[in-house]
Amino acid sequence: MKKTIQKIALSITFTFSLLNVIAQDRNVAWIHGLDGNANSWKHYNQIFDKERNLNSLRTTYNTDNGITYSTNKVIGSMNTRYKDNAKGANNPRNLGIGHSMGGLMLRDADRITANGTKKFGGYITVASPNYGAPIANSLLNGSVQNAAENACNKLTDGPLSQLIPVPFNFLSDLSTDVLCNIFIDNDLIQSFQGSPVTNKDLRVGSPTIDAINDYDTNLPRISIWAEENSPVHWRMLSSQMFGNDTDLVKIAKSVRAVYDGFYIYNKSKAVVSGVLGFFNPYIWGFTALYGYRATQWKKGRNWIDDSENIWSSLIKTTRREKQTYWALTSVFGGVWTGDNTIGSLGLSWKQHTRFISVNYPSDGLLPQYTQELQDIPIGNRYKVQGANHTEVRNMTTDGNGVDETKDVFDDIFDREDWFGTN
Amino acid sequence: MKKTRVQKFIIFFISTIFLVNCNEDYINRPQVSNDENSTKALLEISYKMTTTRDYETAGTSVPDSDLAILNPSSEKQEIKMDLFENGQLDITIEEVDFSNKIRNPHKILPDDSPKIVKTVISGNTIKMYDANGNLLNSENIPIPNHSDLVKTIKDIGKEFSPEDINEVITTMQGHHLVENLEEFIKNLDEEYNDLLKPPGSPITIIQQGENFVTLRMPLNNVEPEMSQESVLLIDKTLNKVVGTRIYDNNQLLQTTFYGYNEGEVQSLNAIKTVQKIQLSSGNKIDMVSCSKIDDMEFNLNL
Repeated sequence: MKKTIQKIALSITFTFSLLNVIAQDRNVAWIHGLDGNANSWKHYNQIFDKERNLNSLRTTYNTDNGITYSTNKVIGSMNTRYKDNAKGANNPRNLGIGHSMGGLMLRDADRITANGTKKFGGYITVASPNYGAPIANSLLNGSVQNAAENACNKLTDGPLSQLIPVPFNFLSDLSTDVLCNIFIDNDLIQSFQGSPVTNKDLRVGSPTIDAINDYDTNLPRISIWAEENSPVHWRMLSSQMFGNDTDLVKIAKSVRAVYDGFYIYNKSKAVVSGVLGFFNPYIWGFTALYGYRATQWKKGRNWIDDSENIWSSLIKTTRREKQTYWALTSVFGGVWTGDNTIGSLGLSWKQHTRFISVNYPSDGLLPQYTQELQDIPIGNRYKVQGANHTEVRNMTTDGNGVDETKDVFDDIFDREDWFGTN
Repeated sequence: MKKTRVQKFIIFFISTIFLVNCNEDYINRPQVSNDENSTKALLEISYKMTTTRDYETAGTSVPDSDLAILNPSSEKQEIKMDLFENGQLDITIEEVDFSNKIRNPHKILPDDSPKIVKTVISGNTIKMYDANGNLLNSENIPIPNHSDLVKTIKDIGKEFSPEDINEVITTMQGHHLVENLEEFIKNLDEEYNDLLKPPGSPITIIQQGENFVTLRMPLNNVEPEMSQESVLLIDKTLNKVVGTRIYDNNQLLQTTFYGYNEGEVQSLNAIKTVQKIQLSSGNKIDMVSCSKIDDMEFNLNL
């Protein structure tokens, strides 16, 4: 009997000590961004609830009415879920993890709550526009719309000159106007455009962004930034459209090959008619026509080549830098330019130096400089390599067998400071 | 004698224009793939083309939003084109690396996905391959059948001797066929325009000094749906086309210059195109594309 009581006592002691080891003393809120919902963080929430025994909150917030409106929704959901007291919603061990605008909501919650009522003792921003989202500025000043219209013109010039009906469909029913329109029709841009209040809030230099950055906080913070591989724009849009970052890249490359094919087709026919013109000079009329068509197709092909630069300029992740390069240069001016020395074009390689547009790292939507918090130690800044703005929430979708975001979270949770979560 | 030759040209020209006009129907006629087309091509062209694209930015203040589309670029392609007796036109394009290639120093992670380095158009199918020869994609595209172009070329074979044809092809010069280009054009001016009225549009011939002549012709002569006009610049001494221009409502759209090798075989070796492009800021700027052509081979198997 005594042994039985001892066994029960030992068992109870062991169970409670085990519970002390397993249960975390913190609640973790996974906050989605502008284009997200409660499912946005589902992948990592489920993994770490299991591996790290987190007590997680994941819900959908209305993000259409500006940053602070959404922030108050987060505060409200914390109070509802954990109770508005020191052991619940106001527990200084509570951790917030926010993707994109969700990171700003965490910082805003820090700003607008007083000590003792703060919902988070620390937070992690993931691919967040900490200093504003330049794409919001480009949307507001019409640059995105202009770029999309310019793109559509360039992509339709070739088919129009060839007298092929526009839009013409091939490549998985992806027509010419789709490729250019997704510049403004993708979910993220639509989210920006669909919520003008939030769009204005998220722009670089907005009063809300400035207020968040003017606030001095003592909370432990980490920022994770995502860096995508080239072509960053097609990869980010591909993750949105197809759930992986490769399908749209393949399509864009195939569309380029088709435009290149028609360009070469017409250029070669210009050469053929140039030769046949010696049998009949009037055939030279075709030389001009085919040469013109070749150029029209090439405009579309060039746009596809330049589209990453164009997108990068819209999200403001380019810099103007001097570049020295070799280019074919002609000394020939021709009678049309006032030079009467007709003959060989005299093409030769010459070095040129001028300013060009150089692309810098981004997640396809936000530049590195706005994703990384600048006033935190270097050791608190992490990078998810090969991730775009959408897929950083689930890096198993890129199919390389590595979950890069999980690896970064593991590094953070293994820390021996406030973020340690074992 | 010359008059007779000119008359032959007129008749041949009218039939050529008619035939070439008719050849580009975009009805997808079933065409066999290149692999199945084992017959020797009627027309074979191959060349290497190195092209650089740059912009005339000197002296202009370019905002960042515009600069993004003004980066210079270059490429080298090996091109092979075969026209078969059944009207099928096959094209193979291979991307080639070269020492002077422009590599803009972007600071982003490289593209790690397969690159298309070879494109094959055969019949109505386009296929794309990577560097290891793996097929990356295949699509149907509306490439027209060129059976009427085949007929045109065969008519040339009937009209002219093989020696004349070979001479024209190897030198890309018309001396053997057109002994006096100026007189030839003058005769065409008189007779062709009479023949074409109505419904065709006239050709305007303007002498440009002693050495050059321009032929301005509406493109609806060769493509009824086209509203633009083309102008050919012909060097009378060289007997060659040295430039073309395209106008739309008298507004210049594009200028192309052609350069030729000097010496015995004066084949085409350079193409320069100047085109005004509209920037997102509303500014206009000249895009200059220069193509250097090497190892051009042009064979007619009549």
